[in-house]
Amino acid sequence: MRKFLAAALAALLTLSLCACGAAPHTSSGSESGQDAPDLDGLFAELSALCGEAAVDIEPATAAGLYGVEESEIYACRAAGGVSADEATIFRCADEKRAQEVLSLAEIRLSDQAESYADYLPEEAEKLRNAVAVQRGDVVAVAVCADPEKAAEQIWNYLD
Amino acid sequence: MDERRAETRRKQRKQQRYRRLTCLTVLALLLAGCGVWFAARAGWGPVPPPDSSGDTSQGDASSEDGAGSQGAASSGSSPADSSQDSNPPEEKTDQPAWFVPESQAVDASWYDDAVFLGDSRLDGFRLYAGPSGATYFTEAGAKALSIQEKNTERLVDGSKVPMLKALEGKTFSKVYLNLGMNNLGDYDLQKEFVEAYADDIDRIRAIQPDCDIYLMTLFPVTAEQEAKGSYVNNRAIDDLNSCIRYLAAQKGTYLLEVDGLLKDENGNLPSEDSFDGIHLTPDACKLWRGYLDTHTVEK
Repeated sequence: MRKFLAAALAALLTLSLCACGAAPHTSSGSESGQDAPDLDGLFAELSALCGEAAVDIEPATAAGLYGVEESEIYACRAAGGVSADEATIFRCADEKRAQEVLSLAEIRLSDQAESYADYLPEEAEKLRNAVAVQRGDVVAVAVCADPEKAAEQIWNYLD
Repeated sequence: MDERRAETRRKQRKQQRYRRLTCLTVLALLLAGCGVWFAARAGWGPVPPPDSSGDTSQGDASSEDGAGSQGAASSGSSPADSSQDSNPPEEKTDQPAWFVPESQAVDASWYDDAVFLGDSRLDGFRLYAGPSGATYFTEAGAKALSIQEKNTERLVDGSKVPMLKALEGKTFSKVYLNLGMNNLGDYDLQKEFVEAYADDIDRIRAIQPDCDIYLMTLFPVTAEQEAKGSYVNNRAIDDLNSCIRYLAAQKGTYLLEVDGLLKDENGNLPSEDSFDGIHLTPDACKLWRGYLDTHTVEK
């Protein structure tokens, strides 16, 4: 009886330890093997934060803005000239490439902020406060009047 | 006797006619002189641009640099005569200016060797309706002079150079220019726009000797924008468009008179075509694109 109880307890302990070890693994959105993030949902949320002048942009055009491959543009919504509002999501071949795309996005945001500085200072401010996040092979960029909300949405969807 | 009287009357009438004609000619010359004087006082180099439908003299068209063939390719168009302009230009060109007539629509591949240079309006065009195969150098506040001086274009090595310097990186067959809106508030329009734009054209030709240059006129602003009393108004835009037409004639570039495309009966940009009275909506940009597609010159 004691032997049986000891074996049962050992089995329980082993199972619980396994369960504990697995817990952090499932909470990480950046590890492989997890469900793909809902990029359509994220894009819809970020698009809703853009002003009326922003419309869906052809992937080839968006790729030209950032100097990336057309295939890396998941979706883009942007305003031309009148406003800097933008929501762009990139899906790259791997995490390393996503990091490069993030760098390109940051450079573009900085250049745009400079371009708008004397022209539409309030848009330049939006660009300086823009959110650009990379998680795994995904990069999300949001330029809008409510960057906190945009950041919150990006974390919600990508984390 | 009656015959002699009649003869005398005829002579008198003839003399009167001659006197009237002389007076009218002198008056016209005086008015023209005043016009030039006022224009010079106001800082306007170019007097009214050559009439697009005017003189078809093309004494210079058969120049050695292919200008003649450029013109000949544009069937049905009339070259503006720059040789009869009373205002001394800074440089006479061998190329005639050509208005680009409507032609069969080209497909997007037409723009694969084209570059667009311009300001925020062109930036909107790029996003909303621009051909993705084209190259774009745009900056929100771009001016005729700033494209030579301001470092706005990032090169592959990370450095930034002015738009005209960035042009050196690739060979283009067509250069589309859309500048002027940000020059509307300039104090010295002659120097900061007319001379600078002329210099831009010269520099582009030096960098891209085989390219065709298309100057685009400026779209008007809406009545709401007009009501603001700002320097960004349609009278100023019309004046600037006159300068652009003049430059096209003087420099022998092609001229795309896109301004008439988005103009209501009062000369304003229709309100539904703009978000803020100045910048164009996606639908308006698509019309703009349609105009460009159907106003090309095949070489």
